[in-house]
Amino acid sequence: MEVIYTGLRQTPEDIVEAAIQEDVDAIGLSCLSGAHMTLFPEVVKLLKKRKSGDILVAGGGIIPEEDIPKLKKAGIKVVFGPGTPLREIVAFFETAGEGA
Amino acid sequence: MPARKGTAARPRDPVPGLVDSLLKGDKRAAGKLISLIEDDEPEATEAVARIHPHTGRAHVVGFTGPPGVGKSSLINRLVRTLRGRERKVGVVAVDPTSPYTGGAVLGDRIRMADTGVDPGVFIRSMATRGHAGGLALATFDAVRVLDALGMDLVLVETVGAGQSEVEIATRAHSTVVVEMPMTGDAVQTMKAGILEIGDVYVVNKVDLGNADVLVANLKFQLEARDGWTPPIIRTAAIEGRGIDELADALMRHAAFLDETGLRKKREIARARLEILENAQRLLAREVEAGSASGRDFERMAEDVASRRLDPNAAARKLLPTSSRKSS
Repeated sequence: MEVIYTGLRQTPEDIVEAAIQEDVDAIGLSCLSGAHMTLFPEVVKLLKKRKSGDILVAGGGIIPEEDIPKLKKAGIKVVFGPGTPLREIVAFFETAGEGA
Repeated sequence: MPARKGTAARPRDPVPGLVDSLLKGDKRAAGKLISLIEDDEPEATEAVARIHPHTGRAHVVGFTGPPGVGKSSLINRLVRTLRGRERKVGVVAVDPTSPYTGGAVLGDRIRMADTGVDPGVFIRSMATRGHAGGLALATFDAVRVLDALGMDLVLVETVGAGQSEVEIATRAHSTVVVEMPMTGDAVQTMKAGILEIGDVYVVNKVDLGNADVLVANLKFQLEARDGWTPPIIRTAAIEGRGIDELADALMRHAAFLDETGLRKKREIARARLEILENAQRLLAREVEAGSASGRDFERMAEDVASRRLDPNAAARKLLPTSSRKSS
């Protein structure tokens, strides 16, 4: 698995542009600021606009339980809360593309 | 944090359509074509064949120098300066693959985040994936894709260790060697190769002080080759100092290559390498497919181990008949 780390405080536009240039299978977003309800769906929207809706989007960070269903509805495939074991996250990405 | 290469691959698009889109400047197609070549998919050969006729316009600049010397930051600044001069710029940044896990964390992009959504910039990270020499096997095919995408310059950042400096010098039009003060004595700069490969030398992090010693050492040892004396540029990449001078030096070198006909010579030298490499790869594949897993191979291995046969003679038996004579 190859992971491209793009650094902190990237705009949704930056993230989508990087994902397209790097031709990634998945994007992992982390947000601690509370702006996830705006930023995460924006990434999904921009991906679709760039005909790249096939790229999987996963989220993580400080996300209240009640927001998770809404994020999933907005196209975020999975949300990993604080304390999720690394093994679980790796396993998710290893199998994510299967049957897609 | 985009992730690449899980176990399951996404379906690939047909090559002709991707190449058509690439030639129209579609970045998504460029990204996909680079992956296809990088993963050595069966369609890779067709992709390279279709792209090759549309290349040769971009000026390719290789960057080498020890890890931590500031290559990524320097490239980031240079990209901005070149954009200011209305040049479209592609970047291929190579990072090492872990020999233990086969995975890689590619971090060069962090230092290049400035240029993010500029439509005239395309940055691609690549992992070495076990290719010796600090460059990814597909590095120069990625350069080809960015050339066909219409980039005026393509900057290649190597891992900066091992043989990468020599390899990059044989492939790029201009090679930039990046050094920094306080990393060693004069002997470091005399190490074989370093003084012979650079077309432009950069002494980065001049703000650390002591740069004069390094500059003087380089100046003392560098000699003109083919009528070109490599300039030494002082930079402080983080502050953006010296970047204009670096851009100027690269433009001068590009013009020099054109005026002297050296560009053509370098292109032909590179073509020779590429033909041989492809031949080697094809031959290796043929040998592996033909016999390297069969019973004859096992018997041969036993014969070599028990000294009834020498390895070279055994290898010749594996080769297709046409190439057996060479040893």
